[in-house]
Amino acid sequence: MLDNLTKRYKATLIFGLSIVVISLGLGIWRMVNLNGLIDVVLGRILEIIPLLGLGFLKLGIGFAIIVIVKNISATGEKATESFAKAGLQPQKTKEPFYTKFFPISIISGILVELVATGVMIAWIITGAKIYNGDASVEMAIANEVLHILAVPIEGIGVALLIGGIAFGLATIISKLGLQVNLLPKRLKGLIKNPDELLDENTQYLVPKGLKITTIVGMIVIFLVFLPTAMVRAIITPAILRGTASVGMIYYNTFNNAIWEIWMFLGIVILLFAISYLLMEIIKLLRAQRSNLGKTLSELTGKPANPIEEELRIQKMIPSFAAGGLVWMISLFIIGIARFIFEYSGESTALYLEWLSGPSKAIGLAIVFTGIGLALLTIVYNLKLTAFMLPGSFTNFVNIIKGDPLNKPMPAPTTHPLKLAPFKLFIGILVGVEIALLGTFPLILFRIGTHLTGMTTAANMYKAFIGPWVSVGIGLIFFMIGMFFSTIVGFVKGRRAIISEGVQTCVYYTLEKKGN
Amino acid sequence: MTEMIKMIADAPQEQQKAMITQRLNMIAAQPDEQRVNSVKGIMMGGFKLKAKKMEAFVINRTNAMMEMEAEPKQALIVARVKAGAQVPADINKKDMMAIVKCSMTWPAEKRNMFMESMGQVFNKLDMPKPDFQAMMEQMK
Repeated sequence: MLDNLTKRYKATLIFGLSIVVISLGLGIWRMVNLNGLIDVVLGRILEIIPLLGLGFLKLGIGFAIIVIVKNISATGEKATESFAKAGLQPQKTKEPFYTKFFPISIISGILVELVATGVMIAWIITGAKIYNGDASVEMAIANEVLHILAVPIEGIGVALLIGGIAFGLATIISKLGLQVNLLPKRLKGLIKNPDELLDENTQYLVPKGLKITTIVGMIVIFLVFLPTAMVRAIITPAILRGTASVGMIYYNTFNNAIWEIWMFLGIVILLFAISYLLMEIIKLLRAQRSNLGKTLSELTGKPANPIEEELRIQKMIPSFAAGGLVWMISLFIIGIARFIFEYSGESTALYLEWLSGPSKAIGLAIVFTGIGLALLTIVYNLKLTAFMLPGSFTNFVNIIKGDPLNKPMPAPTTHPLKLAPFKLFIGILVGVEIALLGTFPLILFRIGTHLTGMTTAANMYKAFIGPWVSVGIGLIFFMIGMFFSTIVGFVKGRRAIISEGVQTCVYYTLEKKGN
Repeated sequence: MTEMIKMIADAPQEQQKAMITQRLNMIAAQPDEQRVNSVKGIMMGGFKLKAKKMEAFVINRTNAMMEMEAEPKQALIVARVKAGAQVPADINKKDMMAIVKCSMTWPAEKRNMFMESMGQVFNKLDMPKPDFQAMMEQMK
């Protein structure tokens, strides 16, 4: 069943984007129905539904990564099967924990987000009952508690989804890294010393720092639920009944000031890890071409063709990743400052809230731009690899058969950047631009309407801007999904070429042995 | 294979021809049975492309094959004929029509040599030879 689901990654991406776009429509509807029951209901729907749409977009990306991992695994298995016919004794390697964990994390993530949707529905019901005249303390408590829990539960879903994607990328790195190292060695062993084709029991290790960063990001987001939301959910009834202690009120004010930015800090930590995981994949794709070229050179005695230089845009990725993280840490510090001012009763707290609230999208925009550049570079490297793999295997076969080597092919293009799918990256930039339009203009607008007293206009804008920013982020996730969809095609092609290439090499080796 | 064909068909023209040539060199080096399966995969994958893209892909493929050395070229022609008998008739026909269309852009001598070469392969394999002349008339 999981196989059938994961194949539908494109449909899942489209479904997610549709939900986000529909929520924009609901936002516009709310804008023209600012008071009344519709405003209450739509306000609550719009706290969760855009996030659910983003959740399905992340699910689509997760499904695409599962398909990529399957194809990379199949490549290794088929090649090992062929090498076994030539006498290889394959060793069983223990797979890292995240290989099995990441699909479970991704599926669990969307299920948790659906639970959050259930909490939202309950919250809508309590809101409607209060609007219709239920003034009981119990209903007010239920309303507040459901409000406090809805988004943090959603946050757990986000942590599981993005964490699952990060560990999916780590799985790609561990399998791809193994193949990048082992394949040239095995081909060399097959050609030079077929009677001694030994297996090397090696694992490719994903940098520990990246795994730790991913786990830290997930923990930071989980902490938004426990203890912040859970404790607030326990304290709130006491506050509403008038029995809360000073410490409880202090804790509640503190959490109110920082919980949202805390959650976004966790998200950006995860995206930071993802940026570096993608850079690790770029390194491996270059190493694949370089290792195969060096092996051919060792076997033929001819100098290896140098591989292309790194793209300049690749060097910008760490700056964007770090920039986004630093931005979010700064907003977290502003959040603590806001709490201090709020507790002191100073109005500065209000301005800090207006500044930091919309500015979260800027941090996301910075880090997503870096991720877009990384994906662009990966597809560029995949195209170069697709270009050189068939020729390399043909030469390996020619060496085995004793035939002359093929003439070296000219470079695939004189303009390397022509190989990069800029249309997809521009889509990410459009999403970034849409999200950014919800930041500075909103900050200026809120300050302006506060000074001029235009409360209605401010409320209309506030109703619209959340779904607007969600559309920007949704478009970014959709384009990232399209990048991964492109990568799926290349990985399937790589699987065919490597499987056939190794099969052919082994066939002619055995034929030569037989003679 | 379908995804790989789509990837090649979507590539810019200068890259497409180079990638097809690389792939054909690899297929020509394969043992007979594997070669026929690979060509079958290419035909089936190409059929899933949109009509114009499929035609352009087959034309590029045929032109790339014609620039190869005699031995691998002959091996690929034989594999194409054998694979044609193993795929559905409509796929074989569409692929052959695109090959004939490609040959119509060549000088007459080159086209005639190619048709003769293909005809000989059909005869050697004891398979019914397509009516190339009728196909060319249909295209005019």
